Amino acid sequence: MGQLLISGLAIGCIYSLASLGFVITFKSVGILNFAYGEMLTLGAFLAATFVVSAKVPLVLGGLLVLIAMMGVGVAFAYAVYRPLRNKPVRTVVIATIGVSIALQALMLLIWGPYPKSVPALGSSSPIHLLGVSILPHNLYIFAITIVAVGLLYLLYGKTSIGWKMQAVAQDAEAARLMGINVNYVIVFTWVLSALFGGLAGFLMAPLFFVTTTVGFAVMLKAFAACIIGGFGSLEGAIIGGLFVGVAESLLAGYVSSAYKDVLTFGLLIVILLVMPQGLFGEKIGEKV
Amino acid sequence: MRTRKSILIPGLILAAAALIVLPHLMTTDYWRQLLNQAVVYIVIVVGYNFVTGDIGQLSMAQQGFFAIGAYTTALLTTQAGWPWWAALVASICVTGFVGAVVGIPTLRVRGQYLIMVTMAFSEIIRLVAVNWGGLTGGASGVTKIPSPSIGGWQFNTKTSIYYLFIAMAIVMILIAWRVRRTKYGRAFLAIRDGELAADVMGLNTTYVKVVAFFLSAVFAGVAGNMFASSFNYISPDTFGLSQTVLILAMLLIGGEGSIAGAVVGAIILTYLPELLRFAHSYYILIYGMLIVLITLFLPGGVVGYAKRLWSSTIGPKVFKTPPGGPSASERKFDAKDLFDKNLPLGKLKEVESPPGAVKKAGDAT
Repeated sequence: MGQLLISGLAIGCIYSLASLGFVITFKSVGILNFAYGEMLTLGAFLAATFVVSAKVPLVLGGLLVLIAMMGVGVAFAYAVYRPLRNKPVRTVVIATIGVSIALQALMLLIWGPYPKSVPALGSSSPIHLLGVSILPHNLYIFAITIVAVGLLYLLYGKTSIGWKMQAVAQDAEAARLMGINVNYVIVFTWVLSALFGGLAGFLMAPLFFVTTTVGFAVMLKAFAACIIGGFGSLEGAIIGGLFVGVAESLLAGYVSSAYKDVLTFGLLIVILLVMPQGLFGEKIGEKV
Repeated sequence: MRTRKSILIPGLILAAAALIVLPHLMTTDYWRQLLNQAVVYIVIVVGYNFVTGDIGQLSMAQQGFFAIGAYTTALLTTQAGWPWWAALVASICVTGFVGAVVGIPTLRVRGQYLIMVTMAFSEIIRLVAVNWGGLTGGASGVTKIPSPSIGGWQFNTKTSIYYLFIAMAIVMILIAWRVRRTKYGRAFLAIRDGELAADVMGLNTTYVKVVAFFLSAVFAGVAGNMFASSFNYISPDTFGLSQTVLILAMLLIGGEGSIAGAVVGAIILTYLPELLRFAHSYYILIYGMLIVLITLFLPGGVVGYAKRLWSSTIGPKVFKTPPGGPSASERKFDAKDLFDKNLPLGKLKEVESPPGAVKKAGDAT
């Protein structure tokens, strides 16, 4: 039980980070970014390139991944968001799916079809604590997630760019009239989203084999996590991510590992039937 | 776009002749197979249009319905020895039932919540097909599915299957066309244009949505049957999320909310891989970018663009034969009046679209 909880929380932390990156752009600019999974994949592939191929130390490799992801965020802001703003939801969904398909193909051309593996953070021998054995990598995941979430809250609550982001999320036009450089804030939002995507990708790389489709699968879980938590709220994304991770782990351990995804998605549907706005969702109109 | 009767009948004869000749123009069995695949997709996408085009609810469930229809036919014909047509009926019943049941969540969730729920549904179906090996054959799928047959009639060549399928597709398209002219068809559009308004006007929107889901599922069930019996082999790989995306892309590229759009989109995207074959490994990259470009620059899809092209070139002619409206002699205004008053071009386009609007424009001028 404890063992399952720990591994569930570890994967849940990754889902939380992924969910945060997914929901940040929706919250601020109303874009449901289905190409977000490719940010995760990119983070994982970049980790493989820096750490395995270029033999950069792991921590430095992680920093390089984050720096590269900032560029990816800027690229998304200009190449994906710009043409899509003010478009109906369905156009955004299908266009970002198109971007996702194209990026997957691009990554296949760059990194090839063979799965890559990335070494874990810390040693591979588990630490025994209160009768549960924990891999050091999982401890790093917990620590990094706590720091990242803490920084995000500091950013939103205490810094001027955070306040500007909230202002733009509320009403971009009013924010512009108040003298906020909306364009800059939006680019920053996309960079933030890419950073969280890259971080989640970097942390999950040692857990899965890295292929071009790994990010899409995790994005689907992150999407489910956001929905369960209540779409559009940061708390919802964090708690939803942990919930999905733990539920998945417990269902795999106690019910059936083959059917864990079926059960997780089934649980999602049941939750939505009982609570259509998710666990923490506020009743808001559709952002179109 | 209404055509006069005198053009309509020769046009229909020509179209029928083209449909009959078509498989004989295809040089290889592979191309004839693609033709059958296109017909299968036409049926799926025309059905998908009820929910996503007409009602405007972005659903990702169509692939799940398709999978259920295909597996129902595959398992009943291979393991229970049912004849093809009985399996077809079973596929329709099962997917229709599931569609109505899945439709119920749509009463409660919308927007991104609906996308997630329907995606989850399709994934569940696929994962069950992968994992329930005892029933579905697991990841290796179901093989040796018999070709269609009705009584003693065997459809075991690609061309004969094509003739059967095109007949089925025409029936399905006529059903879809007919539905649009019932109160349900109008209710679908009313919900798309304003769900709250439709609700306030006394429309039972939840019921209407379930009907739309039911219909789209039935179409997917028919398509599933066609797919399984023409390819003789199905596996869970066929029913992944990329297929959901393909169906959505077909509808959007063809032109959502229009049967013609659904048909055109299905044909284009079935043959696109062949046309892009020269690009080899860059094909998927190009395919993804094409989806982006078409959705961005062709809102309303290919059919929407053709309609706009029509109304901006020969468009004003539409005034002379308003559909169901008064004949030319009865009308109190003429297209010429509009030109005399120097109305901006945009006004003309606006007047042309809905049948009822013709009269209104007359009143206004």
